[in-house]
Amino acid sequence: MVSLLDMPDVPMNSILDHGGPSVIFSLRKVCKNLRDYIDETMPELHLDAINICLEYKKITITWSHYLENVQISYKLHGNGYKTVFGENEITIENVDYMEGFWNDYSLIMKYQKSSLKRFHLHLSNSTDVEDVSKFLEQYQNSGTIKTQYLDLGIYHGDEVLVILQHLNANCLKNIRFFSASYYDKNIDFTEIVKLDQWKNANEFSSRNLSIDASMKHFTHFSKINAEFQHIYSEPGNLNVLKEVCIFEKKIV
Amino acid sequence: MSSTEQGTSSAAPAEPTTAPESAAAPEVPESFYYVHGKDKVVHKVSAGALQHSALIHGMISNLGYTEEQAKANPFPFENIDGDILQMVVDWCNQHKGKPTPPEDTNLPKQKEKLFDLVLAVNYLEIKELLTYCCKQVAMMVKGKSPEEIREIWMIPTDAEDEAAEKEAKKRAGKEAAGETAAAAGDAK
Repeated sequence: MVSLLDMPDVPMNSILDHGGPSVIFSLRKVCKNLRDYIDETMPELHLDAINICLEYKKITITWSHYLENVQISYKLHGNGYKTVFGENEITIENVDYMEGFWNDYSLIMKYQKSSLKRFHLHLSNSTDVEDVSKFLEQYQNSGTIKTQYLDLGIYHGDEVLVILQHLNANCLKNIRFFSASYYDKNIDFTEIVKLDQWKNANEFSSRNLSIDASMKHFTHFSKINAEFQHIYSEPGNLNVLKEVCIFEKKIV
Repeated sequence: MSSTEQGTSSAAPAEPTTAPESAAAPEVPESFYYVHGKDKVVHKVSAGALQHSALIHGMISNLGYTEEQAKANPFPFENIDGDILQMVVDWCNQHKGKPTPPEDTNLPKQKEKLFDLVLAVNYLEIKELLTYCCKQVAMMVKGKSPEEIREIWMIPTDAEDEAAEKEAKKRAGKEAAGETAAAAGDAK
């Protein structure tokens, strides 16, 4: 009789390594022995990107890995939630869909030790203020995310500071904000520009957003693609930009 | 399959038949070693092919056998089934002195054979073949639900496991009590 539980450590680690995250998480749910083994060895996931999209009573997470692209949805269903993973659907009773998502997300981030290339967080499609607040509360309680690129679909604009604060300031190189709606979105840059995450980044872009902030806070970027609402007449505003372009040759 | 030739099965190392002659004779005569598994069938394998196995390669380097000594002392791998050792020897021969391809599609599809092959290859420390085997096991798990994985790989659920453990404890307790009673009876 053959049992996977009798597999020695070296091949077991190789199986986890060559199966990708979906194999690690499937095996973890098989039995306590495998769960304990995986939790003890903590195999690295090596995810390239994570995409989280918050919609009405639904969260979808997609991860990219060199072996697979996986999408899992968590939807409100009765007094619990339903997860949809490929052709598989599982219904969980008496647990909030957001709690279900955060349980799995926390597990993913526990195993993801290397820096992500991209982290996409799209709050733009959500229409439920309460759910966005609940999401941000959980986000604040989760660990710091290491990513080189942030793609943030904003909801109201107030959440930007919180989102940025929880990204590793040494990894983040590229920031992009966008809005999916045409309503006015106000991003208050007063505190954002003080963050190391902002200061250390090299590139900034925005889409469907009009930036209302002084240009001096953008001169450290080597590449900007954004629309500014006003050119402030404060002393040196445009001059600062001109000098950076002429003398530092940083801005493309 | 492979060109490896087998000797007859016996308790003492059997006389192996000679390996096939290569078309062009090598300038330096190649050295051969001998291995057998649980079935005692002896396989003659070149040192070049055995280089894939870190374990055997280490043994060869340390022993410094002559051809005669190697023939008289085949490496015994009593923990490896004969057919599995045959697969391993075939693979080593096929990949002798060649760069290993990124995929190997000739691995057993049956999980029992694949599992035994993994154990053997892990023991013999054949890194590339172990990677192929583990990739195949991973592919057998991929896309399966935890229930399906449990079924395929004969893994009990946590509840079944706990129940079996309780039952075993109960049985052990009863046996111990029986032994004590028997000992007390003997003392009378």
